[in-house]
Amino acid sequence: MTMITLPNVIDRTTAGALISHLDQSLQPGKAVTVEGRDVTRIGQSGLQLLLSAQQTAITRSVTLDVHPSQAMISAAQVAGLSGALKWVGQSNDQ
Amino acid sequence: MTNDEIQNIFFLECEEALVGAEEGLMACQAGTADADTVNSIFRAVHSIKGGAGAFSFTLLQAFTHKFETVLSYVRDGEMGLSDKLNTLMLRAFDVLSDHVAAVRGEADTPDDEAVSAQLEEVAERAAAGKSAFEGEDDAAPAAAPISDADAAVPEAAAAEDADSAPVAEEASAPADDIGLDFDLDGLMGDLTVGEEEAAAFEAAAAEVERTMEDASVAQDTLEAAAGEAAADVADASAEPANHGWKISVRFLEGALANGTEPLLMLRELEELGAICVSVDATALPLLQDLDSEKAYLAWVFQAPDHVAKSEIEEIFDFIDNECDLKIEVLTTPMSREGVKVTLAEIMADQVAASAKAAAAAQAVDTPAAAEAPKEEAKAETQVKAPVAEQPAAKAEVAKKAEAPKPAAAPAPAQPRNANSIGQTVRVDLAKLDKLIDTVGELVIAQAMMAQRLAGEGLDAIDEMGMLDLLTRDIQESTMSIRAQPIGSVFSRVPRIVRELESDTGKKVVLTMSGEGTELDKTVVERLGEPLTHLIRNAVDHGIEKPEVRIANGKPAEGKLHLSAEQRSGRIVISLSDDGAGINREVVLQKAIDKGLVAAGTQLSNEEIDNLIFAPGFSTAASVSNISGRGVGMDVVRQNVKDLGGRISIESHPGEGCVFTLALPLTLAIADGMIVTVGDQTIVVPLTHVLERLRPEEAEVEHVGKDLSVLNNRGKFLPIVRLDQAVGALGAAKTPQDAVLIVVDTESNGQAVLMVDSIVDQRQFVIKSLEAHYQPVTGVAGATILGDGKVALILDVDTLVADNFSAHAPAMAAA
Repeated sequence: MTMITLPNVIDRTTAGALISHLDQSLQPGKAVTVEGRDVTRIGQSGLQLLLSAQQTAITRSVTLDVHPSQAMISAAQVAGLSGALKWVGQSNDQ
Repeated sequence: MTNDEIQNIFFLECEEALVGAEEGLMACQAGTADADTVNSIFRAVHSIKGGAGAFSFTLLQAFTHKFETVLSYVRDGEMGLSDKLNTLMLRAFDVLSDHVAAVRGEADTPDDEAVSAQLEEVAERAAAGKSAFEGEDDAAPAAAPISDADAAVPEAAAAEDADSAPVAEEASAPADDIGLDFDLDGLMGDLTVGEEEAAAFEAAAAEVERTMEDASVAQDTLEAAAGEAAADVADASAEPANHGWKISVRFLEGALANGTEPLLMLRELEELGAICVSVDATALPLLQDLDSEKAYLAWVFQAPDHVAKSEIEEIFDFIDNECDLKIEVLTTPMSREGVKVTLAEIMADQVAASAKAAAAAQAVDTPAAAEAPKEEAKAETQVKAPVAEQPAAKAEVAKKAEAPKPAAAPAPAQPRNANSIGQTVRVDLAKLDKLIDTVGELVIAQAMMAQRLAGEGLDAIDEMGMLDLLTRDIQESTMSIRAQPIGSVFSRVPRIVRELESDTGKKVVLTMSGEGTELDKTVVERLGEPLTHLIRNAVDHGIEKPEVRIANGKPAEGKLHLSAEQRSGRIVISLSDDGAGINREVVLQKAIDKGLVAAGTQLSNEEIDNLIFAPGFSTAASVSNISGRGVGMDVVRQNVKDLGGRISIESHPGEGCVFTLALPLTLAIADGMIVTVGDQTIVVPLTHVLERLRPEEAEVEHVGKDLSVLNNRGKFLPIVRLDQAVGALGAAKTPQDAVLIVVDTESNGQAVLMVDSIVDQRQFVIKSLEAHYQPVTGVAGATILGDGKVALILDVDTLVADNFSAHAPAMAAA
């Protein structure tokens, strides 16, 4: 299993760095866990990254578990993506 | 900008939010609240909560959450306002203010347990569809003043239920919880990235602030919208109803690269009551094609009809060239079915291509191959948008890829409202003080030039008149920058009165006027303490208990009126009550008992009233935690005096009392009389000066060895020899050879200053002796005169008081 711990802030700069990291980690047959407990701020770039990673994981048949922080959950709600982002430990009911 | 600076912005916004919330709560209590009032309170509390979350002020955040929950039920019309609920909300507001003070390090963390429990109980009752308190009419919401407006927009209220219901449950995070984290976190994080982003986020912060300040505009719009909505309800079948707004927004490719954070704007939309109904993520590519600098998402929000279109437009005002925004009238009721997210379809060939690409990456495990999968996938993966035939037209390709729906044509760019940007500028106080210092120097330089020109016989030239006028204009404009409305001090008063009511069992109706009166920031800041003492005194000593009032034929509720106005270059603050007034017999007896006044002394009513300002004086039979320690009124007088002001009392036994504070507009520049005493030039602040005269020999009498008194129309006033006080040489020795200036003082009434001559009467810039040298008794400061010499500014009160104590035996004999 590959574990990726997200940084405190996921803005477009850190999201840019995370793209290739996630891309390389999402290998067929591997399970990837993204730990987001330290995330205190995440913007649209970060949400796009995680949604894209989720879609990519599906295409590559990779298990991707994202453990969100409260800030991530809140951001997803603001962006209307709570239902789309299948994160661990949160209800996706709108 | 450092985190501390950003935090300070949050504190300032807290202050503004608290002021707004209190005004709203007072309107609720007065029964004049409408839907927008409650909404504005909600928004204020919500903003504080968001900021609190961003800065990890967890206690503040937790409390605001509970408060906000109750407010959300009121806002949604699910719970009506009642006296009990208003009282609870005001108490919650007080605790909230304390929490804010605590996070600012200005106070201890308040004990919010009782209020929190009550808020939770009320929220639980509201969630269960009950009235706020047991025993209240469960149909209360229908009768509440704000519910009419809500009834006119039932869809809006119903749609917001989805947000507000989870808020009531502690276990789950509220729908809009911590939303503002983004705003402030966004500011913090992105500011570290670069100057451009910093500017963009500062602009965003200013925009948020301005939007909040535009509440009055929104109010008008709301009323118009509410009226229209009511008309729609009345005649629903006549034409299609306007159910609000459909807002389609897509941020363009470069928006993120320019530092724009779309979530900030979405958050603001939510604060207006808008809900997200759909997200179009079909343009979002897989990881290998993802560019973190590009925005791929498009949203559709629905806003209730009480929101003005202009309010929505304003949110996107300053990034209108970075987003496609379309605002249409919503002809169907607002959606209650949650958010529909449309993702790109994942096709079989995509899966295969990705698998292949990933396998290739795995097989060639070299650093150089790291980029390979990306390139390969790019080549083989079928992207949703049609690949452009013209590779050279790269920008066009990107545009097509991001706007896959032909139907979602870009809305025409919204006209930018130039007036809506940069309404206020926050300036470091140090910079402002530097400016004021410089203006002070300008005033001095102008005075020096005037004196020089006068020496050449050119003092009456037109140019000097113009320069004088302009200098005064610049000075007044600069001072007005430092000026703040006194409302920031007045805003604390309702709470003080509420607490006093609760502590004393008295009923007080507080009215205030002139809150917009402006005076120097320093004066405003230092006015709080004396004003608090005065109010405590008025309620504790002045206003009688309800039963006593009724027995005296007065209404049970006492009246307290606080007013401020500008009068003759000074700010006059009055606090009047309709209480018992000063009991002069008791006051005089107490003063005699305490040795403040010799037994048998004949004092005028005014002099007896002024005894309450004597140090250590208290008429209270017992020391309470409100007043009665005998320091309050003394402190009041000292504080007012420190501000260069004066305090006076007008008492009518049985009818009430009026305390009047006269304060200078500014502490930096004052009017004064420039006098000479021997070899010294001295400034006497004009606020003390009553009259000036050259006495006849018969008008001066000598008492004892050193003391002379002036018989000023039958009133004997001690003459203070300034040459002795300031050590001047060569001054006039007898009052007949001198000029006498009659001055009024706080503690010792009138007295006479003996000087050689009066040179001029003009404005002077006050320079602190404490800052530049050390405090000197009898000297309030120094100033630079037109000829460049330094002149001392007299502290008339201290000087006269010292003179009185030095000659006390002679005075008593006189």
